[in-house]
Amino acid sequence: MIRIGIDIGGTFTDFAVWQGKEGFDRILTHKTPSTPPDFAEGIKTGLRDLLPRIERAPDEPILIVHGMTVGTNTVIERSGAPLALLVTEGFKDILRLGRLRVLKPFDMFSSRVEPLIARSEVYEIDERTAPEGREIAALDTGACVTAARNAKAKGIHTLVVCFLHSYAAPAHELAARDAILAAEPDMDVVLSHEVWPQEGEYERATLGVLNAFVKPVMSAYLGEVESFLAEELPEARLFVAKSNGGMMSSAEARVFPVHTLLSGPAAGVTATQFLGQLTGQDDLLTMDMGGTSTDMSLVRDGRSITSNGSEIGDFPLTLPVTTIEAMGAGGGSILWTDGAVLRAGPRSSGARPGPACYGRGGTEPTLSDAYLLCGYLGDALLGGDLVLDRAASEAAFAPIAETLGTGTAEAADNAITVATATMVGRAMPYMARLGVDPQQLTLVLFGGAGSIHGPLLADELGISRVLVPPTPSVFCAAGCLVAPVIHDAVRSVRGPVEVEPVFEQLEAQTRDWLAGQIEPGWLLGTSIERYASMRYVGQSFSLDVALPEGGGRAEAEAAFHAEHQRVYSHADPAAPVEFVELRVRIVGLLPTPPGGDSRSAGTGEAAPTGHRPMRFAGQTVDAVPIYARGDLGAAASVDGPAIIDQVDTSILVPAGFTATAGEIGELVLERKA
Amino acid sequence: MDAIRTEVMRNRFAALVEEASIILYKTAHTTFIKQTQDYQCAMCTVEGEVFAYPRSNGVATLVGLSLKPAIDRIGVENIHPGDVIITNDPFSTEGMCTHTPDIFTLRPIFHEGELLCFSWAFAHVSDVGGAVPSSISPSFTEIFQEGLRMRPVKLFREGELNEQLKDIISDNCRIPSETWGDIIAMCSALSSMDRRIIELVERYSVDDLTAGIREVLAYGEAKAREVISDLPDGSWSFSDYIEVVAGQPLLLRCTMTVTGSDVLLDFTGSSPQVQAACNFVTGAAPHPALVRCFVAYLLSSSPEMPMNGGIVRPIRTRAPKGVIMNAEFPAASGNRAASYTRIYDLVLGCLNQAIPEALAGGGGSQAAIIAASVTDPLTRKPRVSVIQPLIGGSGGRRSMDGIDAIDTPFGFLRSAPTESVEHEMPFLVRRFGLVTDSFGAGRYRGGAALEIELENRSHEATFSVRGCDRFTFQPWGVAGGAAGHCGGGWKNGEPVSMIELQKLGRGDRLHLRSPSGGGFGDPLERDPEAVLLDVRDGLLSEARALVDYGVVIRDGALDLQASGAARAEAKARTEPQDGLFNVGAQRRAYETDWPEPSTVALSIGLLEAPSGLRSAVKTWVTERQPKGADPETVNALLKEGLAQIL
Repeated sequence: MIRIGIDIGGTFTDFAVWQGKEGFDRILTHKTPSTPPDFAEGIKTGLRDLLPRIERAPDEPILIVHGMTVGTNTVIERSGAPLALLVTEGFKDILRLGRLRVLKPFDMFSSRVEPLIARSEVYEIDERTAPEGREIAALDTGACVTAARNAKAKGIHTLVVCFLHSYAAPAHELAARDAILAAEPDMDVVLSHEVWPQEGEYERATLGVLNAFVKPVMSAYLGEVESFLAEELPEARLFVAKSNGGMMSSAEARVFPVHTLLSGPAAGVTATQFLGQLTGQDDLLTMDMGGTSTDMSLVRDGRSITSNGSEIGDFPLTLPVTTIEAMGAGGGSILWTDGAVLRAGPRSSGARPGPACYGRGGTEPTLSDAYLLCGYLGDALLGGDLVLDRAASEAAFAPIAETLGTGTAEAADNAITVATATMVGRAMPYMARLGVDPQQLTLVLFGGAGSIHGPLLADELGISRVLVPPTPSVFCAAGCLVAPVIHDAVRSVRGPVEVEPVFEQLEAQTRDWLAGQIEPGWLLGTSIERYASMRYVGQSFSLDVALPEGGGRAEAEAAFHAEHQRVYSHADPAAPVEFVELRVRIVGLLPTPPGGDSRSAGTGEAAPTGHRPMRFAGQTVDAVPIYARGDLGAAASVDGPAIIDQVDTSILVPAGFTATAGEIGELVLERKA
Repeated sequence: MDAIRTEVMRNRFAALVEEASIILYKTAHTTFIKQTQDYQCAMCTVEGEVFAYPRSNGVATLVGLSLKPAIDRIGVENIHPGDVIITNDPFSTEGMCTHTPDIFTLRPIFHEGELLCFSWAFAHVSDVGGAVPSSISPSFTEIFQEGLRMRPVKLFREGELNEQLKDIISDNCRIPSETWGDIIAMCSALSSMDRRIIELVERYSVDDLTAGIREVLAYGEAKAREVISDLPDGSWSFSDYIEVVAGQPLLLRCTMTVTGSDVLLDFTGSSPQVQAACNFVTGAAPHPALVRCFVAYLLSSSPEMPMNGGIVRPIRTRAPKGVIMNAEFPAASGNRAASYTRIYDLVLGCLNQAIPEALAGGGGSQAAIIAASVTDPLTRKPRVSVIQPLIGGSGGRRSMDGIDAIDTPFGFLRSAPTESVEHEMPFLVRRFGLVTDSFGAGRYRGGAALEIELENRSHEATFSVRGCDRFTFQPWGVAGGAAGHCGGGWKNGEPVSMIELQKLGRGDRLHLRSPSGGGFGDPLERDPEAVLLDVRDGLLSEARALVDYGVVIRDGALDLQASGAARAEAKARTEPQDGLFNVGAQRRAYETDWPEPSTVALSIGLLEAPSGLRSAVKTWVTERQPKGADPETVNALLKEGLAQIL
């Protein structure tokens, strides 16, 4: 089997290819410019370039996993389909009220997020189900049809239905769809309980709305990619990356595109988890630093952290997704003085115009300009394709230098110190929330700017070990290359409940789902994970607990007390415990690359290719050695301060750290004892 | 100010308080902390000034807190490494603690024998004893009903727990283990901040730390002064009422004086303290409750404003001893949130006058929470649950409409999902939504009212709405905007009092409506498209569109020509408004009988009387005060009444 991972970014579309046998160190990578707004063009071009380089038997199956931001952008730009919503009578404002809280409670001029559906397109339907699932008022199917026809008259073809307690008793939602489709067969009807059957009407309605909002866009996009593949690569099967770190079939993604909304950063975490397995490391902190943003995430005990408290475009996304923390600053973050104080971000020069040194019209000083002025970057990036304009960086930093009464290089050095402090300000509370100690973690760096600023941040956070993957700039594509098929199923439960039968039903549900995604012959195996959201009776918040398979209620309660103790530092084993929600995750495992043997393939002792003066935290070092990544072999170790250049990134080795090459082509920076 | 050190230290400080705030939240036990985030921690200087305050979690409004009274009470010379000071007493801390369930803790941070700063934490614990569970009732008349009271004392002496104190606390709480759990959670947060400060000192130096503290505070002050300097110099007054004591509207008043980059908020003229729990204690330092609106204005004006006590340095406050916001021993203060809310409105009223284009209309501004109690049929024990906040829309704002259903100072609150409410309690929520034609009209309209309708499915349920207000006086409009509307309550369609407990039998329906926000600016200048949008959304009737906005809408479409004529006619019809505010018909009628200046004169004059007699003198005067009496008449009556009663 051949696996191809594809990841679309704003600037580049990245490819990673595994041809079935070779180690992770030998996977093929490729980059082609993205082609917004018609992103499919970039994919086609990239695949056409790439295919001749792949060796394959005539009918060897090809599995393509595509990570994308098509849905994400549609939500953020609010450019999706016009929709109407059907709700239980009395709840017309379900979207408009949200959970009341405004976006920025400190700001007198803040409000809640504007819903994606106007109040005039929300239809109240006479129907009611009690919390225990009993029907209180029958469904007025005539009102459903009238609502659908009213919406259709306004050019709306997609309806969302969210009735109270449908997560437990979906009969009314199903009957509403049947009635609407019988009368108006060309309408598309999205039911909230089918998207995610969870208690909490605002969040469930929002998931239904988000799904419906991106559905036509996603369907058109995937349709285009599918027909291209049908023509040029009929033996390929298309899969789409999910926000939970797994993937699903393209057909599934066309029905439930909501699962792709946070898939971009999740793929990088999946790749990190895989890298951890290959290198035998269980606790890793990721840092994905691009031009406009930096994302962090955690892999603990070999697993990424899943939460259902994420957001997209200010909307709650209460699906189980890989937890990502946005850190604000990126390589394009703008430095500025506020009175007499130097500050970094949150404004960014973005992809356009970008840093001043890129010569695309940017005039404001950015972090990338600071890297150049401090000597961390050479004269060009991308193997010489992007020549950097040092004079532009100096001009951009001149006003700050004047305010501070320093030279431009010193101002740039100070700017980096301030930016690092800003990142520490975000990273420390993030780690506190997850209850991890930085000293136990390995920092994994990817994204264009991660391997320059990451080591500086590691030093400041007290992290002693930093890992740079072989091709950090296509790391998310590599994540698509190694992702398993993953699906989550949920059931909200209340009161005294027999847990085992519910888990068995959920497991059957996930197995059915998996069977619909992929032929069993492709899978190496499947695993089932059980989770429960539990709490002490009377508590107003609950805790997610991983449950041992086959364990009964007693084991579940013991697991809950232990997790409560771990997270909150106290537990009450005598107090009664209740279940709020049960969840099952199925993981369908696919072939992935083995490790590698790059350590022995190296060329031995490394010799610097040159020297440059650099500034580090107030000190100038006259001749810092520059190495070429390809020169570093098994025996080679490089002491900081040093820079290691490779085509897609530069790696900064701070003073006090030593860099060595690893077996799968990764570079490991360790603090000297 | 060192350009780099200031920013590095600001971020370091912010990180360590955010971290401690998370630790406190995660390790605390009781509901108020978990559900309503009623807790916080911060770092403060040796002088008691907050130099770092979290943004992401917990109570947002205490950034200007002064811990000096508590430190002074113990005496800085008596404070040693490993000590933890605990208190919940408003009177011995000049209102640092504002009601008894708020427990405050302080820990000195020493390095090589030198006191560097303090870490601080507070939590609203669910019970500290007293006459009712949770220790708060609006009708309490003195603090002794509100449970255990501790002046600043040492909970830990040089690292050693004061076991007797622990026993006293435990013996005076209904839920001792939970309350103690919260106290230990605070101690964990305090230790975390201590550890991080010592790490900073070891990485940098004591000098860098102390300079950093000085600089971040100076930075905060400079930013605040920048915003204040943009206000014109001058002095503005505003009065408003709380109606939490039945049949007795209490006038609160603020005069704001801006001089350069300094501000004075003077609450002279406000009502003397009352025999109810809406009083609170303040001291010499600007109390967070008094400066809350002004601080909100500062933070809204400059998104980069540092979160520290430096931003309140330009603000001074004055509240005479004995008024509601500077109450004397032994006033009750459990329900002081009612006064907090109105004080926010007072300062907003002053800012509206100071800022040439005004700022925002008055909001629903009631800190109301709907709670219910049912008896569990199996255990026979009462089950109590908070249902939803019922606050009301905010006022229209100078460039945008008000927020529907919630007011600006309560923007941090979250409602509960209806599906969860129905699982927790035996009710059906029949309706939870916005009310058509409810907001005050304006160029930028007020926020719509929120309505909830509950149907009881159990044998019997009892409801209370704690913190309701705005029963008769409407939220005011500003700059030509109309006043908002009052809220109300109905049981099976019949009006009921929102103050009294409501008992519901099976099938009974309770219907509660919040106030709505006042408008901003002349409704006749509202964009007709915005009027149309409200009509299409079903939030405004076509009839009100014509009457309030002069906008003609036929069959869902704008008739611009007819609207032009309707607006011209409406403009000719409306009398020019005298003044910036539209306080609504009810308050205008009340003040015809009880003119504002006379009520202010009475409040000021009453302070001359011995505190124990003020209530009697007030009754004596008001019983004899002729309708529409001027301040001179009131002053004469006061003199006479005082003589009679003495």
